[in-house]
Amino acid sequence: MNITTDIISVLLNALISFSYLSLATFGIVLIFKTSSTTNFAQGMLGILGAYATSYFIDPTGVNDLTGLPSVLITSPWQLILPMLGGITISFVAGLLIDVVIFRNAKFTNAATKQIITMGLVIVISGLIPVVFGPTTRMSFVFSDQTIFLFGVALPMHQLITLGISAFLILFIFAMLKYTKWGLGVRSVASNERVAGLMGINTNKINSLSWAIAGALGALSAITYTAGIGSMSSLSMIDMQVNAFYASILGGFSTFFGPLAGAFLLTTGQSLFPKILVSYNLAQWSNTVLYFAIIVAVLIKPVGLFGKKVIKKV
Amino acid sequence: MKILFNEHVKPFLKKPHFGFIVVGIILVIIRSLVNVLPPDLYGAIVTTTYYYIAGLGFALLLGYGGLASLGTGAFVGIGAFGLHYIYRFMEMPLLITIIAVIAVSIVISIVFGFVSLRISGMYLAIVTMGLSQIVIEIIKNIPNYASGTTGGFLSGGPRRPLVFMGMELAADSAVIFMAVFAVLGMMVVYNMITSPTGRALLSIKNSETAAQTMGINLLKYRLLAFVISGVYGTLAGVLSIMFVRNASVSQIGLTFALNILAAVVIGGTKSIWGILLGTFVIFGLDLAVFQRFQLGNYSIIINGILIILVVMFYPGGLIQLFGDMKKYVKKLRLKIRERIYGTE
Repeated sequence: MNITTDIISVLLNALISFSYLSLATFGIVLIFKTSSTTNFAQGMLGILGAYATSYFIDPTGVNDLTGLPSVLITSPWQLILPMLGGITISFVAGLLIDVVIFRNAKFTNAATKQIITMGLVIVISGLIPVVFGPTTRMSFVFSDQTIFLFGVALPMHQLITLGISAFLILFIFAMLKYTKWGLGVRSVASNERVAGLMGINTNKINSLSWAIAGALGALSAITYTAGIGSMSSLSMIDMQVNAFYASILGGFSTFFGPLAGAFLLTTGQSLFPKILVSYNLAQWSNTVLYFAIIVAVLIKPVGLFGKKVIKKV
Repeated sequence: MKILFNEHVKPFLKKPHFGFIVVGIILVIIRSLVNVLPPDLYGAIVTTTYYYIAGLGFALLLGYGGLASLGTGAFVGIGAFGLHYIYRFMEMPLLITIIAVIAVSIVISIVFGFVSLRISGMYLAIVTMGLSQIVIEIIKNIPNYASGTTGGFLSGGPRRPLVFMGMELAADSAVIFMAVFAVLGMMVVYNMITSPTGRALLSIKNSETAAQTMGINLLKYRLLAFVISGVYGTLAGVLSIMFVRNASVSQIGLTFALNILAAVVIGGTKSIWGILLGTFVIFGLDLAVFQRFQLGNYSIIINGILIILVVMFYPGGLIQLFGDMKKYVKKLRLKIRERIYGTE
C-alpha cells in the first residue's frame, strides 16, 4: 500500500513538473528545428511575458514592508486578460527577434547564433528593470485551494496548469500534423533551402516559430513562477537548462522525443531523491540524474527516440 | 648603429613573442600603479587578464578544434575551489597545490575529450554543459562549500594566509602570477598553432574523415585540445581566487561558459590578440567604460546589443576591424595621392 502511494506521488509530481517543462522544451525544440540553434534566451523570453502579466495585474508591485501584492484577485478575468496580454508580449518579442536579428543571420554558423541568443539574454535582463521598474513583482496563482488525490496533496493551481499545458501540447501536435503551417515547419526542419525552393515562405515559418516559442515560454514562466511563489529574471534558468537536457535525452530529431525526454527527466527528478534519501545521499540526486542523462546520451548519441541522420562526406 | 638596429633589434621586435612579453611587462607596470589607477579600471584589467587565459585555451578548442564546449566553467571551478580546498584544508604548499589542481583538471578534461569523440555539434555543447554541472554539483556537495561559495583564506575555520616561498602574498601580488602565466600561455598557444599540431587540429575541424584518412590520430589531438583548454581554464580559476580571494559557483555556471564562448567569437576565434580584445569587451568594458557614464541598467542593454551587432556584422571577430581599418587607410592614402599627383 505504502509503495503504491509512493509511486503515485512520484508520478503525479513528475507530471506537474512536466507541465511546466514540456512548454519550455517545446519552444526550444521548435526553434532548434527551424532556426537550427540552441536558444538560450527561451527562459528570458518567458520571464519577459511573466513580468508583463504581473505588471498588467498589479502595476505598483509587491509592497516591500508587507510582502503582499497591492491588488486582490476577485474575478478570473482579472487573471486571464493580463495573462493573454503577457503571452502576446512574448509572442511579439519572439517575432521581432526573428524578423530583426535571425532573418539577417540565417547562414552564419552555430556558435554565432548561440552567442546572438546569449546577447538577447543580456539585453532582456537589462530591459526588464528599465521597463517594469525596480520593484519586486510576483505571479498570481489560479487558485489557493489544495485537493487530495490518491492521498497526495496537490495544489489546485498546478492541476489547472497541467490541464492547460496538456491541451496546448495536444493542440500543437495536431497543428503540426494536420495544418499547412505544420507541414511548413516539418519541411523547414528537414531542409530549409529545399523548403524555400518548394515554395514555402520560410521567413514566415521561422518568425511564427519564434513567436510561438515565446508564447509557450511565457505561459510556462507565468505558471511556474506562480507555483514557486517568487519571480526574478533568473527564475527560468534551471527550467531552460533542464529543457536542454530533456531535448538531448529524447533526441532533437523528432518533436515527440524531447517531450518524452522531459517526462523521463521530471520522473527522475522526483524519483531519485526518494530512493537516495534512504541511503542518506539525497543531496547527490541531481548529480546522479545528470550522470544518468549523460550515460544515456553516450550510449545513444542521437537521443533515446532520435533517428540517425547519415551525412554525406 | 643603424645596421645593428636593422639586423638584430628589428627582427626581434617583429617577432610575435616580443608582443607577448610586452603584455607581461604592461601587467607588471599596472601592478605597481595600483594606487594611481581608478579601482574599477584596475579591476577590469585584472579580470580581463585571468579570463583571457581561459579564453586562450578555449580558442584552441573552438577555433582550431571546432568543438563548441560549454564546460569552461567546470575547469575554472576546479581551479578556484580546488586551490582553496587543497591549500587551506589539506595544508599543502602553494606550488604543490597548483600542480595538484592542474592534475585533477587534466583527468577531468580527458573525460570531456572522450565524450567529444562520441558526440558532436550542438549535442556536445549541451553534454559538456551537463558535465560541468556535475562538477559544480560535486563542489556543492563538499560540506565546506555547501552554500556554493568559499569564504576566502582568512575567514572562519582554520585560517591560512596565502604564502609563496616564505612570502605572504597580497591580493595584488596575484597580478605578477598573471603576467607570468599570460605570457607563458600566449607563447605556448602561439607555438602550438604554428606547429604541425595546429595544422592537425584545423584539418580535424574541417573534416574528421579526411583528417583520419591522412593519418591524423583523432583521439590524440582531441584529447590534447581538451587537456590544454582545461589546464588554461584551471589556471584562470587559480588566478581568480588568488586575486578575488573568494569564489562562488554562481559565477561558473552556464552564463560564464557562454561569456567565454562570446569573448572568443567576438574577438576572432583564431587570433591571439583578438581574444584579448573580445575578453575585454565581455568582462571589462562594462566595468571600465560604461559605468563611468552613470547609465545604470542601460549599460547592460548596450553591452548586449554590442555583442549581437559585432557577431552579426563581424563574423570573423573584432580583429577583422583592424584589418578593415588598415585597408581603408591605404585606400584613403591612394586617393589623396591621386588627387595631388594625378592618376599617373
